[in-house]
Amino acid sequence: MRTADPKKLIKAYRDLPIGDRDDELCGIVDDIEMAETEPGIWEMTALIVGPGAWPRRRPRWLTGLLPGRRQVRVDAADVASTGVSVRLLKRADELGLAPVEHALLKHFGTA
Amino acid sequence: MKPLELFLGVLTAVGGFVDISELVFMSQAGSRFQYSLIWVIVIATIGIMVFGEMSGRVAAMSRQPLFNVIRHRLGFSLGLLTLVGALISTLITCAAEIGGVALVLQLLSGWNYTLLAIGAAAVFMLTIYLMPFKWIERSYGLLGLFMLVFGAAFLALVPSWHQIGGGLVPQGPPPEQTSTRDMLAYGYFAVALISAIMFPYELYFYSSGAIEDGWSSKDLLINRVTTFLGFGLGSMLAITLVCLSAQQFGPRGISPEMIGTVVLQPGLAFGKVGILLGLLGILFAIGGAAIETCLACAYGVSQFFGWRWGRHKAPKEAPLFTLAWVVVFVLALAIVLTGIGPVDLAEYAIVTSIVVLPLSFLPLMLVARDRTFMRDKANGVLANTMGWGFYALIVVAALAAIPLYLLTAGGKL
Repeated sequence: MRTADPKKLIKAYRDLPIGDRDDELCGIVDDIEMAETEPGIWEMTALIVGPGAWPRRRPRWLTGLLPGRRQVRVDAADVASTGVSVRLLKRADELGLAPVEHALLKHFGTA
Repeated sequence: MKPLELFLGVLTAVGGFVDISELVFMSQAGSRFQYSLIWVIVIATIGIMVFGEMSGRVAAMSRQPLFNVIRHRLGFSLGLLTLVGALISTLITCAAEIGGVALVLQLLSGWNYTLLAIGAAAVFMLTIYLMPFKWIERSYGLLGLFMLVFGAAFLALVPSWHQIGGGLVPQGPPPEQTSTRDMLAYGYFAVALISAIMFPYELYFYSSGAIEDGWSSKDLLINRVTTFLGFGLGSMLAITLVCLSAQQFGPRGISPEMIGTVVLQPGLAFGKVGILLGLLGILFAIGGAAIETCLACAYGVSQFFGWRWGRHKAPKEAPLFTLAWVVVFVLALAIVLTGIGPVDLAEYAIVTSIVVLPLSFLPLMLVARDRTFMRDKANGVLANTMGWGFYALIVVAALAAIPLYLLTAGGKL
């Protein structure tokens, strides 16, 4: 997605649920990285997922108090589409998403 | 759409409409203020129909449950605040329902309350673990139809239709109750009834249930019929509690603060059989509500953090969701075992819930009117007008709830 307004990019991705290649939920977009790829044109370059992204959100006096520092960076090339949710091109475990859930799934033999 | 499916959906909504808060507040409101609060119940019922229909429509069209919508529209911090508030109020409600079930079982068996509460929580956990979503919803909802004995008692005891009709007109407390104390208590009961009928967990559960059932645009009719007819008939059942209490308890100066008192209403009409059927109805209605509140907490936290969720998956396929509902039941049971009575818990739940309502309903309104998400099924003029009108009402009720609770000592002054 390319836009002149970075706010549009934030609205298009941030706080949306993420589904992996198999349509399994694997997190929420906690923040995004953007770059001005051409003068006046912004693109999303990566999704940031995990509690490590929470202190980047406002108000920082509150989000800074939240526990957990782990975060996963999902490159824009691994994103298939966005709409009411973000769809990925790879499986969640390949990208390191939802690590606790995958550890439990492995433990129960349902991964 | 199969007519049987529709019929069962409506019956389930009726049987599942009444929970412990409604049982307590409807009966107390009728005893203290006779028929003068019926209009509040009617307005709150239209409100839950409007927002219920909207949440089902949003779930069917966007395939997004309410807490995904809340997080996306409110953002992380305000969404987290909503989640925490919702979890607190819904957890307290869950504890009230488990305590209520234990009380009913104690009335039926005479056994120890604590052991019955532990047993009830264990049965609910097994129910969620073993039964598919639709069967959980259907079995408790349909068995909750034993509550219809209250409706039958209402008719058998020759209702005062003239006074009931008068209660439909917006008004204040009865003419002989116009002291400041009575006016404040009337305001408190009005807010409590709005909160009891428009509990936020009902929408978290309903919208998640729509996705559990795989609703799509083809299911919008069943959504509309369930919310309008099912909630409407369920509300009529709740109104009979007010009327029975106004007729039987008010004139005798009885304030029904215990479930055992409420169940005397069908007993007056049908003797022991009426009491037994009433207890069974209450047992399954609030038992179903215990499961709904527990699942609503697990749905909320799973959706907010993007975990796999739903009872359409085996418990091992959604491990964090499974852990969440187990933890909720354990915490709710721990609250019950502190010795706080279920009726007191229901009062705390009512006050905390109404404070969370505006934060839960605002994102729903924003999405339901957004054509990029909802396409041709976005809110029309009528749904928008009614939605914002009811939104203004719940904001006023939320602002008034805590002051009124403190000034009236929870309606007891």
